[in-house]
Amino acid sequence: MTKNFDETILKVVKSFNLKRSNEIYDEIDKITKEICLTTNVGRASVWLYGDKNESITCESLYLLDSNTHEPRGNELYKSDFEPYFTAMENERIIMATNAHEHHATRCFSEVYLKPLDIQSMYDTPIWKADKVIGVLCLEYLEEKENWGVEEKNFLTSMADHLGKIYEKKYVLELIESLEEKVQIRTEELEKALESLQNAQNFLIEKEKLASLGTVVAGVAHELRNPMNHILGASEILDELVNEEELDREAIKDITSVIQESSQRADLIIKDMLDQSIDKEDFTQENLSEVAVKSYKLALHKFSHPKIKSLYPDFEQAIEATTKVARQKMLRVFINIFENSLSSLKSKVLKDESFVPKLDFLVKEDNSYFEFFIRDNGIGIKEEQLKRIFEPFFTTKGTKGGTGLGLSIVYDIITAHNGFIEISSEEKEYTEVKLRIPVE
Amino acid sequence: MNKVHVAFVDDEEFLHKLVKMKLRKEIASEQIQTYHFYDGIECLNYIRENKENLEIVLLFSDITMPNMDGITLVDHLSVEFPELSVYMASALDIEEYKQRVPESTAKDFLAKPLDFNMIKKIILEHIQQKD
Repeated sequence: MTKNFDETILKVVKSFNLKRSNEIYDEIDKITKEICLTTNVGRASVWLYGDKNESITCESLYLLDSNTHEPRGNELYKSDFEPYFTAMENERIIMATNAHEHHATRCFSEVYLKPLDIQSMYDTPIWKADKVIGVLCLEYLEEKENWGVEEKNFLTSMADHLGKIYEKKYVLELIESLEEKVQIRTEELEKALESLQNAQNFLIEKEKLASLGTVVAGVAHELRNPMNHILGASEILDELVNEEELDREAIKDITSVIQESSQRADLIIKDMLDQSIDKEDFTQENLSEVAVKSYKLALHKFSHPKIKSLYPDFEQAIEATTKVARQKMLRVFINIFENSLSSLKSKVLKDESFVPKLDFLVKEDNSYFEFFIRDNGIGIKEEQLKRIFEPFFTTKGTKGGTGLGLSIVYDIITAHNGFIEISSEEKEYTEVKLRIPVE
Repeated sequence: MNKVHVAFVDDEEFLHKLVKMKLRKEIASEQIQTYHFYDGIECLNYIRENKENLEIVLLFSDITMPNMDGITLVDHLSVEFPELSVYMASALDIEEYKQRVPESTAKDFLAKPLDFNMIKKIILEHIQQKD
């Protein structure tokens, strides 16, 4: 018999493998069955206290004779079986050879023990940490005189093991509720992320349109030249055809001016439309020239005379021809110049005697072209400088911009395998350094 | 009647072509000789190199040009060759121009699009004055 108890303990403990809290009944049922088979008791059950220990509920009940588990969920109340609950609270183990007479169990006699033909009972409390959470209940159909030490130890071990199972279940429930919370939060975050991405795409489009506006203004300016030529040429043509003797050579010449100017106007418009197309070819461009053009476009936005009359010393800029996406680089320089100019404008508006300065410098260094754009405007606060390339970061509030300008600049420069650095001191200066590889 | 020598400074090729067209009769009859430069440096260099026997008396210059813009060119010319009559031409409007160059030494400012009849008139008036 002794060997049996140890074997069962070993078997039960070894096979204990609770992965999810809802698998607990498999474990408990296994134990009530093993207890019956090992001790030969007719009925073995596990009961758990309900709230405030006012009742106990059956978690598992195994019947040896029929080799079945009874449906769980049967509930007994303290108000109906006061002596039993009191004994449970006070005594470590209830050992009732004659359950009908025992002070703790006789309250069950008429309603429970007699109908089920139960003679003896042996109840062991189940502990979880320092608290009794339930009871392991053995009900004998034949009167049992006494329980051996090994058998008692076995039942105590089983009760302790049950405590551990419930402890594990408690931990699993915690983990599972955390997992559930994480799952819910993840879903919420995914939704939030999705709506953020939608917002971002919207803003990127908006920013594209905004810089397109600047480009359009510049393009309108650009279109003036060919238009003027066409106008001038048509006037001369008018004179020519009204002459008595037709000068065919001259007419041919002037017609070619009109044709070529029209073609150029057409090209400018095509160039502008290209802005909205992402598949842009990289071409050999002189970035110094691109910068000059960008500066003129950026200047269109400003009307203050002190800003309008600012003109960096582009003449000293060396030729910086390399492979770039021209429209994208125009956008980069426009953005940087606009930032500088609006910073200078802010300072001009604050201080009438302030003399705005904007420097543009190009260097060639180890297969990179380096561009320095420096203004003596209002500068950037240190904490803002750290976040300057973040999308949506803006100091201009809702009126200013989308906060995407420099983020797009950053993306464009990175796409060119280049680098951008901004250094600044508040109220003193801001310097943008661009490095674009020579290709 | 003396020939009048006129310089045009503009980075736009077509402008030069149109000027030559507009003045083709005067050029053919040797009333006018035109000189064409594409930026300020090119023009300034030529004038400096030929300062001993410079024949150019009238100069029309654009403002926005590569290498050296029209304003810088005029600054140099007004110091080195004050006898030259310089006319500025730009797509800027006159107010903007005055803001940018408050003390311009240019004789007058012509808004673009250039009125070729106006240019012709200025040159012809110059010829008459000389006569």
